[in-house]
Amino acid sequence: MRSGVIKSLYRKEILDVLRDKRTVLMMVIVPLILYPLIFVVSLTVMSNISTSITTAEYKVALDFTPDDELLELLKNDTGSKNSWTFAIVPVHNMKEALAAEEIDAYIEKDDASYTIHYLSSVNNSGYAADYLTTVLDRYKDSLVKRRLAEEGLDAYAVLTPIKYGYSDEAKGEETAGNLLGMILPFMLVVSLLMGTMYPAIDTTSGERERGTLETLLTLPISNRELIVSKFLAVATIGLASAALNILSMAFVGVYMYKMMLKTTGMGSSASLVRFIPVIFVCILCVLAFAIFISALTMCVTAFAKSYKEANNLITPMMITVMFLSFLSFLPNVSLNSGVALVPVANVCLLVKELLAFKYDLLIIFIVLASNVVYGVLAVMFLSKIYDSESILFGEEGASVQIFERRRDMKKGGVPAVGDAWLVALITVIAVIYLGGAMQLKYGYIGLLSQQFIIIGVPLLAAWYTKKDMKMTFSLNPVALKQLIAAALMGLGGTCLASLLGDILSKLMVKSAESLNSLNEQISDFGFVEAFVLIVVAPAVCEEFLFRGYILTAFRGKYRVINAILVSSAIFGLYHMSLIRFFGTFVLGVLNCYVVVKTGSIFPAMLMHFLNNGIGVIQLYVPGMVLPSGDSLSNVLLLLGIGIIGLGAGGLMMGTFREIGKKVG
Amino acid sequence: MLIADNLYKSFVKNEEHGKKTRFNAVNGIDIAADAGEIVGILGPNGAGKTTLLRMLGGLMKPTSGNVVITSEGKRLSSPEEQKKHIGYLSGNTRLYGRLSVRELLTVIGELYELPKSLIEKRIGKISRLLDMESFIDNRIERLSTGQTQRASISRCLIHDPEIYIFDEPTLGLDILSSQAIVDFMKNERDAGKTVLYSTHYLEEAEYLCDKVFLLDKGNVVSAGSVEELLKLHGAANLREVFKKIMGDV
Repeated sequence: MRSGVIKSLYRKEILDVLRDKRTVLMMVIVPLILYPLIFVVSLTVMSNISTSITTAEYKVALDFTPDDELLELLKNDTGSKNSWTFAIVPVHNMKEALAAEEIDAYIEKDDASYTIHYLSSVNNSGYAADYLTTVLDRYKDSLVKRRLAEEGLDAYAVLTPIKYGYSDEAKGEETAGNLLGMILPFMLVVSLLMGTMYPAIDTTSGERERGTLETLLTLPISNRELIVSKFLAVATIGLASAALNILSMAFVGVYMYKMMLKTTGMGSSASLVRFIPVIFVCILCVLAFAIFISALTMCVTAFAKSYKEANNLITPMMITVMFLSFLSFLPNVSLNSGVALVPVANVCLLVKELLAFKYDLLIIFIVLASNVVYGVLAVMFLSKIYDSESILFGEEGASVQIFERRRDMKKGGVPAVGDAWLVALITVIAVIYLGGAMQLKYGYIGLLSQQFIIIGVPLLAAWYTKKDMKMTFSLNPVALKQLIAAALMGLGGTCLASLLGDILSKLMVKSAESLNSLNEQISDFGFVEAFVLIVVAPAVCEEFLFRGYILTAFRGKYRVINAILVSSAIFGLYHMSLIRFFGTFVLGVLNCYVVVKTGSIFPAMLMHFLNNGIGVIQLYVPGMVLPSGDSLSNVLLLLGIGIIGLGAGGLMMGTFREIGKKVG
Repeated sequence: MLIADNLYKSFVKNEEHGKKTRFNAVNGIDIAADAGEIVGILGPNGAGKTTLLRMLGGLMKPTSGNVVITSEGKRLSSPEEQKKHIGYLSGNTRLYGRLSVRELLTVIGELYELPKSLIEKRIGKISRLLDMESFIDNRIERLSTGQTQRASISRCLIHDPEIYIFDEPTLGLDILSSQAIVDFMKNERDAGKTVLYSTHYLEEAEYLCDKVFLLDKGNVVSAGSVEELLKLHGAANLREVFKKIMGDV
């Protein structure tokens, strides 16, 4: 990469984006004018509302004649700074009058029992009821005092045998920090997201739509230089936008703080000096997060062919980011070294903890480093796979077909990539919600139904889009030697995955514990039930989804190696456990390879069957098939079987003809 | 000198019933264009002209075959090196509307890694050559069609390339603007540059080209100087040659 070229491209991008009115509007007008305006307007409105509540006259009706004391209390609000009063309205039918909102509340008296009738659905009625409670409390106090006095007792001594009060030991800055920690992380994330979103779309799909990407391609610049300079421009604009947002929020914050001091007297001991290191680390957080979020938005928008598509693609990302940032609102969610690796959530929680003056240098380092590493990896990955030629001249055609009308669909072919992503997402969501609900209600059958969802969604999608079922799910006949090769590879892969699992369970103790409890749940079922649930159903259903629909769709668009890696990563993620991710990813890659080599899904089903079968047998009879990786000899044994199995199976596989580099 | 050595480019085509098939948009083309030559690439729509020019300009990678460019007797190997010697212009190479012509030329000059002083010198020279002095500091989005076309040409000149590749440069232009481009190509040829260009206007090609390649369905169906082609096909003009060949194919 040449720094001079990157500098020129970067300058061009910045100039180009900053001269766009929409960007300037988003970057400058919104934070600098809209935020304070919203704040001032809402504050004024709220203060007006509260004044109208406390200075209002409420209409009430009574089904009894009040004595002079109660009458006085109702008419005059004494003893508080509020100035509400009650007007006693004579009505014929109090219930109807209340329903018609002619009165705000009424009181029924039965001997010494008073009942306040009101409508909780009407705001004023609710306030009237609250204030009537205050009036009756005062009336009760007054009666008690008078009766005690009649008995010759000291009312104060009887009613106040002890006294108590509060003393807030938190320093002013801690209270302020805690309050700030509730909202600032969310605001930071959202402002950075908004700040990067528009330039990311503008510099990628906008460039393509305006026809200037083709001009860039005539110049002697590499894909990497192009992506890196665009990324730097997006990150800069995102940062500038975030800085303006923070500045604007800071003004509002200082204003709020001053108001708080004025009204509560709190914060007189607030030491703003303590905030200096906090602010410094927060700025580092913002920088690291800007790198991450810019790279992420670029990854999403770079492949869109138009503004509209980019907007469509970015919406789910926005929702996910916002969802993760909501974590900072939750009480008792603390930042540990695991959470510190979760993007978005880690930055939010770190800012929150910093504002509560909690420092953990290791955690700070993990959060900052993980954001930078994710960002850099994303940019590297993007510059590697970004192919200007295919983005610019690639075959047109919707990447998502599911939303089109069925009668407009052409019959045959394989699913589009967008459809594959969508099917993967819908399946996971359906398994979590629908499958989860079914599991709670029907137990074993509910669990089994999750597998029907896994096979059902891709089958339904393929049927709706009129795809060629045989091609989509690789339902081709298979030779015996192909099955033998697959079985050998499956056995080898299982040994290696088992070894990997043993190693990981020692590294990730918590994850291993949750895996064990899952295994215990399974072993509550009978062997046959577990065998159907864990071995037979996934071998068929999961293969249909992952090595059928998803792999085939990806192969239609990406290079075969990328198709295998991405579909296996989704397969790994689908298992929703860090400890299982690596093993399932490796097995996914092997199964994909076998499908690519044999052109058939059946050998992959056999491999899945063997792997899960061995797992279930291990669960019921530990050590029956595979030794555990506790001792060195066992480790060597597993490694040996693994390598021999994979090697022999792989060699056999290698002799088969590859079924086309691309489908179609 | 620019040589297309057995170039192929294949695309996936969506056919009926959702079937995808591969087809060659450029099907093994050999072309050579020398210094001081205007070479015309002619053919009907879908003949593969644009794809061929994109591969020659380094915008597309050939499926197979090579693009060879030599400068001062040296063969330039990498596409980046080759691009430094090419000025590529097509109807699709738009300009950054939010930049002024001067800003655009400066950025492009920097991307060609020219020294700053040279960029300024070239901008002055080009703006006089193309009569752009009155609008060089205006934003491109505010220019007229003719001015924009001149700005587009200026983009290809900033690095003083040895080879020009123009894809239908006169398409949709009025007589004055297209005449300016035709004159420009002639002047550059006379200055010893290589000009490769595609067009639908056969009379223009007949008047301008030293060598013509007729393309159909990704293949060169006839090639030579205009005189050679007229003689070979016994025709009075290129339009007749075109009709005869396309009728035969």
